[in-house]
Amino acid sequence: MTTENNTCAAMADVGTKLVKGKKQKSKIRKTFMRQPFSIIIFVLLVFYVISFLSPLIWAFICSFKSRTDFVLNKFGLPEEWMFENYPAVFKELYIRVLTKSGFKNVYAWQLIGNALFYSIGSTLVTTTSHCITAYAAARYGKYLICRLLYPLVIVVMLLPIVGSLASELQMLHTIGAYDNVVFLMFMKGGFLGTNFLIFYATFKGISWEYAEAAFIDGASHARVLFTIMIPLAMTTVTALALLTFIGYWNDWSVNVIYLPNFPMISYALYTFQNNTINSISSVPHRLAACMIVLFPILVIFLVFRKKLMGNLTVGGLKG
Amino acid sequence: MENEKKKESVFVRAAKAVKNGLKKAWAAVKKFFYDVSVAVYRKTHKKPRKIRSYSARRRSEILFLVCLLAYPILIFFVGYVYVNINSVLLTFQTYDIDKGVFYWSGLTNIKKVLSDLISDPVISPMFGRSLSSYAIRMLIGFPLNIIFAYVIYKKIPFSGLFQIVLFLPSIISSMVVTLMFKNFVDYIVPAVFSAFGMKNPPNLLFDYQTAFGMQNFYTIWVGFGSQLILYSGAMSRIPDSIVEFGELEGITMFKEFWHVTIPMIWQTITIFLVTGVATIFTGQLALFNFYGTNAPTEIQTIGYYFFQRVVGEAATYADYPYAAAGGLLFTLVAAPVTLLARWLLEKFGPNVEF
Repeated sequence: MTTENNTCAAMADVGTKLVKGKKQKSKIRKTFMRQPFSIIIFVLLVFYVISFLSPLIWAFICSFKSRTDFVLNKFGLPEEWMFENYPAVFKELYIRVLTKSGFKNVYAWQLIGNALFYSIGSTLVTTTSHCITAYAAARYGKYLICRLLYPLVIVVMLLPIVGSLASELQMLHTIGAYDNVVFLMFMKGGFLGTNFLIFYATFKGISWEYAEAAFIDGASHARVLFTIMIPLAMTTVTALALLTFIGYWNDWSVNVIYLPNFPMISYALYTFQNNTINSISSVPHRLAACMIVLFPILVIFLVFRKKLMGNLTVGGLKG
Repeated sequence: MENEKKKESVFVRAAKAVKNGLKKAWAAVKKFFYDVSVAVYRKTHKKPRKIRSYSARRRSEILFLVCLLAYPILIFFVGYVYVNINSVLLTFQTYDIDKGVFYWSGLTNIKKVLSDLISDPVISPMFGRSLSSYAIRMLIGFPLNIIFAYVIYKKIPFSGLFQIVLFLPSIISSMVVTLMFKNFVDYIVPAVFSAFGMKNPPNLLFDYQTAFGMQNFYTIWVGFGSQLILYSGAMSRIPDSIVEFGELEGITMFKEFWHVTIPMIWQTITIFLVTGVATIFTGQLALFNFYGTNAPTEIQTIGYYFFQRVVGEAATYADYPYAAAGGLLFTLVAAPVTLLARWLLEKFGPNVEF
């Protein structure tokens, strides 16, 4: 009887919330459409959506056109859908690199493999490093070194040191780590940046009582971190890991600056736009290459959309 | 009949007695083996762990923190402290191309950078362009970002779609977006201009009069995304009671935005405003995406110029000290400006904590 009552009460509560939510939504809709400020913003947003989706859809359609079809018909649908543009681009999308045994062509599959290796490795190192450092800073404040971490990150953010790239490259050349992907991945293990602040705010927001209960039951510090605190912060960890992965996957400049002989797929696109191989140098082929690079990220985005766009907060600068 | 019943009941009683006896025997055997197993366990296993002393617990805590922090701190010292100290040292050195070594050369590089920034007809206008592009971002891009985050937080009609589309540019590879935009502007925009009667439509990305404007437009156009999420996240933490109180008082959306939302997320806004100051010197717009290392000098910014001095096709070791000197000079300007910006924002900005 009591259970039934509870269920009814819970259902009624959910129902009230839903009705309240719907009412609030319709109220916002009504008041929103009456105010000039809101209407201007709405129109701006509509323009933005059109301006962003038009090139995207246009590029997708054009990637199926033949060279002549594109010249004669830039706006419309293809006369004949050239699906073979994609395999052709995939076949010719390569980078020439210098190896110990001479020059070698790195083709699309290997470019994707390289990008996966670099992106996954760097994401693991970066996210783990930021996460554990922020945890120590947020929860072990009784030690001076942990207390210093947060202000240190803030100071580094506040005191921008500009133009240290030359020095960094000189250091990499000197220690022989230039063009070394594994070393570069390990160098991602710092703790500076916005991700640290987000993790810090997350761990500060989690009640320490869970950890205390675990300590009483005899859990070690590592066990508390890995089996209690990180699972509780999993939404933030996943969102930041995904965003970091996407950032590394898309980062083509890393090949220009640090890894000239470990080419990745996004860098191939950069070089591909200046490609002069006659069979694939047309605009539809370039756009097809764009779609090939775009596709995996779009899939990740659609699958993890809610996680990626979840609520992330960074707290403040008052250290 | 009655005797038979009595006899049966005697049998039953006897059976029950036997059964009980067996049960008791079995329980005794089980107890015996249990005692044996406990004795064996106690002999073979360690004694129960003693309650650790305070110092032992502290030692294990310190060991845990050392394991946690050793690597990130090492990377901090190598990748940040050492690199920046080396950058300062590099400022006062010059590279001897013949011998392949750096030698001390005093203030030569600083003097060269200063003279280039002040009097070089190509380099000196770059600083103005960097400042103007920063101002454009601050005056147009930055407010738009917060306003868009606000209307999405308020869940206006189609807010889900708007959020996805605003977020897409930060998810899609910048090279993909650049190429799509570039081809669209090269092939579709002139056709649209012609359709509206313009005889010689300009090439917006390569005409010097429009290229810089296009770069600024593009930077703002693709610049929503991660900041938008952080702003919406900060807004969602505003207590409902405050927003509902405002609604009961009948304030408009703009007033709510200006008097409630902005003060409540001021700390998040401060972070982006303060840390954005350095982009005056590092901001490259999207020049590298569009033009590689060969952007027209008429639209180059100071950030792009120094970047391509280090990683451009013609870059050598000899360019490193010059770039390092530029970096040191910009840091000397950017650091106090950033601190001043922070002080001003905290002094004159709203001070709300919740």
